[in-house]
Amino acid sequence: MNPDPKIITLLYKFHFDDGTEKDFSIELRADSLQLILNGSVKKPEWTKLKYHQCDNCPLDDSVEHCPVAVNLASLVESFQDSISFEKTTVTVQTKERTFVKDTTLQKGLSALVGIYMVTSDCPVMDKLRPMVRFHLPFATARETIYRAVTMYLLAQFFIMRRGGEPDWDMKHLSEIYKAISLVNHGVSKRISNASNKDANVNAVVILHSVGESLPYVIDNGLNDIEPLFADYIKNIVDFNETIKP
Amino acid sequence: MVGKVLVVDDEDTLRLTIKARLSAGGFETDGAVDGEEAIAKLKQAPFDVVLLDINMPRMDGITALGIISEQFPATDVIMLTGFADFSTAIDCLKKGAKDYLVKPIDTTELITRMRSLLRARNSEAALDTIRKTQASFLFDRVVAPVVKIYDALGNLKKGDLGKLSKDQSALLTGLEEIAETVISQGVHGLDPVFLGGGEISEDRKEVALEKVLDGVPDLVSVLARSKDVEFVSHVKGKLPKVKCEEGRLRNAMRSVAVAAVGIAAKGASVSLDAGKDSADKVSFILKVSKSGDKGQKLSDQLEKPLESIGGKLQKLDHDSLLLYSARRAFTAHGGSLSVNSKKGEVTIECTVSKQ
Repeated sequence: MNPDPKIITLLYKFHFDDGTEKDFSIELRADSLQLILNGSVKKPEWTKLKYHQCDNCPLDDSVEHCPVAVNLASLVESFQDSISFEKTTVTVQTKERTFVKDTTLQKGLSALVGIYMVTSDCPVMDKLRPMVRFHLPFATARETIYRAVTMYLLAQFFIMRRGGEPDWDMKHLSEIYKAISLVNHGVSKRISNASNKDANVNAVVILHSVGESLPYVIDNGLNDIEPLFADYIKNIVDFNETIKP
Repeated sequence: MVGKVLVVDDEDTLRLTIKARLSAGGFETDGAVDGEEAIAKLKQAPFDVVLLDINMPRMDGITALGIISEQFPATDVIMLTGFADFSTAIDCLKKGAKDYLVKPIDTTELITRMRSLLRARNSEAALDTIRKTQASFLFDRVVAPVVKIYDALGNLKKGDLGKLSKDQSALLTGLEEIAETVISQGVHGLDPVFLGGGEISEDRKEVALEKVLDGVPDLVSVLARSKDVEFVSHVKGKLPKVKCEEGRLRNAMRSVAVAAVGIAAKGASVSLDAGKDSADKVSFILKVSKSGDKGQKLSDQLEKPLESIGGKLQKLDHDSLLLYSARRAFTAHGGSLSVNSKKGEVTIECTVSKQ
């Protein structure tokens, strides 16, 4: 664990039934949440920007390598021969706490893949960067949707405070996630060609499935979450009652 | 509700999000964590479509696909995989999968594909119903009755019911040829695969079974007389009432009677009796004392399900055609028809459900 306060460290440990372990230490700059790539960075053929480039990629030809692919290269190589449903115990250590979960490799990997993708400087994934600071390993779809929505609404608050036009209806959030879906598609094609088994691809698939469902959850008015805010809603009704003539 | 879909994936996030999207799209959904659970759920209730992941613990998708194709042919399967592999895709399609999708899946596209698959299924089902209705009509309402007419014309022509003039004989020969053409063309145009179990939806009324037997003993008596065969009916008194398609059941009884006399050897006796009246079924038994090898042949032919006979339908003799048609009518009434032959003595038992 890096003691430097300017660095956020997340330590992912995969412990398998056969006794083997794989560790991944993720170091991020605390101010920018940019991933610090230590040592020599692997850039295999499949990391080239033109290799299955995402349909909505905004990067121009001056960029040689896809930033998401470069961030994922070592991880993908580590699990290129792994099966998605292999059982594993994942321990995630941060400065503040430790998370432990008996899960499948695909599930454990998806959290890690998510961090690597968002902190890669990919212009599409950049919008999710604040979520990394409040990373929740092994989050359920519901938890992820809650975090995404609250992050976005907080962003709107900051926009409003600076005199901008906030998007309280979250119309643009759906657009962001639709764009992210296209990136997930592109990345999964790259990874599929760089892997012999399905663990790596399925990790992206899990992220994709949650992201893809978000626009529909928003369209449905977040009905599933609204009852949790009953007290706030009740207070609005009470307030309206008091101002009636 | 657009259709019923079983989503099979060991990854709960994926399974639940696909289920949620399909539910929002109007589909009725359920989930299973692997092939074993999927098969168990299919045994409990039918599904229109199974979305089947390939790599799963316990039972993988390819193994499950084989079982579903064999045991649940009415269910369509769409394979899902995170790993694009064309040889696996081709293998799955060969094993009966309708489609093969590579994850991550665009659920809007998935819903579009599911809808078109279900539309195709519904069109196919509608076409299948038309085929079955047409095949049943041709077999039960055209071929089987004309077989009876043909046999009766044969008896008349032989002079069994009185001597014929030359003109009368020529006329009967002409009619016989027409009947023969109808039978041959009808059988030729039939695909037994579409015959099904004989379930034709017609109005059913509660009718006393003696009414269903109306005219059957008379018909058997005439036919028996012409062949020098003795006929005895032991059916007496009131019989139970059953809810049935009266005309169809009567025709079936007549077909059985005609077939019984048809296989009877000269000098044999044919008897009609009501079997033991059980709580839920009524039975009739026709016994033929002597049949030569005809009884055994009939019994052997009827052992095979009609739909398995396929193109060999033309090779069936008239008595078999009649009994197959009759069996369909009894089956449609919750009953059965069986033929047992022992040393030339033949027992034909027909049952009808009381329900």
